[in-house]
Amino acid sequence: MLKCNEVTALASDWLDSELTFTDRMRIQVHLLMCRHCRNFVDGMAATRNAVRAGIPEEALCTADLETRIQNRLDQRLTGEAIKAEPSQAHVSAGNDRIFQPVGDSDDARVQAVFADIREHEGYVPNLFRSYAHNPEQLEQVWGRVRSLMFGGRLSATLKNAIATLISQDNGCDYCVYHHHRMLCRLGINTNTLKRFLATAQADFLNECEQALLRLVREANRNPHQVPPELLEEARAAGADNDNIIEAMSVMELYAGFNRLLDAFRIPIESEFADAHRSSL
Amino acid sequence: MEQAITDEQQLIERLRQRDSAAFHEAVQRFSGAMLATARSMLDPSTAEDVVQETWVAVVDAIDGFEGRSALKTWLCTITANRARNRLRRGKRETLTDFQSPLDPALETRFNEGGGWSQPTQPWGSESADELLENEALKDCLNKHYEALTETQRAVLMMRDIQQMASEDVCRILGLSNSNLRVTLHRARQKLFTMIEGFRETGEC
Repeated sequence: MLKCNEVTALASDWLDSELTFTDRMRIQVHLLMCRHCRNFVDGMAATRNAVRAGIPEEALCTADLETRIQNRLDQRLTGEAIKAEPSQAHVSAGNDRIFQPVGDSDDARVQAVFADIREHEGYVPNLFRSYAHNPEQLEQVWGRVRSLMFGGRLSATLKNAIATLISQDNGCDYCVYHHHRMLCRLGINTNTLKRFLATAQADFLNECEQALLRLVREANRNPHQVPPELLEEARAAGADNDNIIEAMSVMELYAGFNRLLDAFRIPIESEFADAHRSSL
Repeated sequence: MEQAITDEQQLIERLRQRDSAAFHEAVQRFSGAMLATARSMLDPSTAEDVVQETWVAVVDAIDGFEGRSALKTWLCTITANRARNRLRRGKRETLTDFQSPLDPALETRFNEGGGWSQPTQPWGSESADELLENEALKDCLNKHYEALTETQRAVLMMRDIQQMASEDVCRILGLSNSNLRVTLHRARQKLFTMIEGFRETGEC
């Protein structure tokens, strides 16, 4: 038999029909016999209704704010926003570069890594050209990208989705652009990707992948407060510790790239800059 | 009702064509709800920024709208997704909210055996509308809503007030389904205790 404090704990689930059949029966039996709990549950139902009716679902949007929104939108719709904001690193394509990526290098280690990158990516991204100032770090960093993004057990789609979403949360246009491009190449429909970027809804991933994405996203956004239940959900959906560490590694690697790219305003490569501008 | 649905479909079609008049109309209709979503997590001026940013993002994102929910709900989902990224909390705020389903104010009202020691009195059959006819109570409700934690406020706004799908709310706030249930329950208990106290004392 349930105790009163247990019924109290389950009251919202009871009111919102979120309980299993067994729990529902147990509560029903308790409520039949317990006047105090009936009063509590009725009070909670009244509270729920009062919240719905008494707290406004719309805040007052002032005429001033509305005008500001309309102006921004008009600029965006006519394409002026891009010209009006030259400070954005991706737009100026390197005009305000404060840290030069390496063009050609005489260093044998750098040359070897660049050759390997070309083989995998078809070109050498400015990200690696920036690391090339330090051949040791370039080797390490490319080694991690190669093993994570071109190897590992998790799907390339999930890992590029992690890189895209983490980078968007961190505000790194460079990485969002490139990994969004990768997702397109992996066959994800454009509109699905637009939805993904706007609402983080990732229905192109399976349930386990979605749970991993939720977990690592929160680990990036709010590391001190990741609810342990997110980890449990990923495990319940079938992820093992190997998968979890692989997903976390992708998050952590790109969160680091985001910092470097944004701090030094590393621009998107010129061959992509036009395509990126028109996709804005 | 059917008329309203057709209107909405026409509006969406025009938004997809990047029709500036359609955007103006949509801004008028939906910005208030989007602002309420953003305000549940952020201070007023940051919330305004987020709503503004969201509209710019919608110009591109509208192609991804599938019509599974109402347009308003979808716009609020995008707003919440962006608002949540602006919300960075420190190390100090603890996670205890998810561990215990009972609000501290209620937890102490039970005896050791788990039975009520300070039971709640019957609330009578007043409907929510009748209850809210009392302006002072309504003000007090809103004051206590403002005093909830950001997560509680956001969950209450999105689930109970704007009625978004729990799956969407979990994804955006980075909560498991059980975290969401506990947070919602805790938020309602806080407001329950407030209304109960108000009914007994007539004071906020």
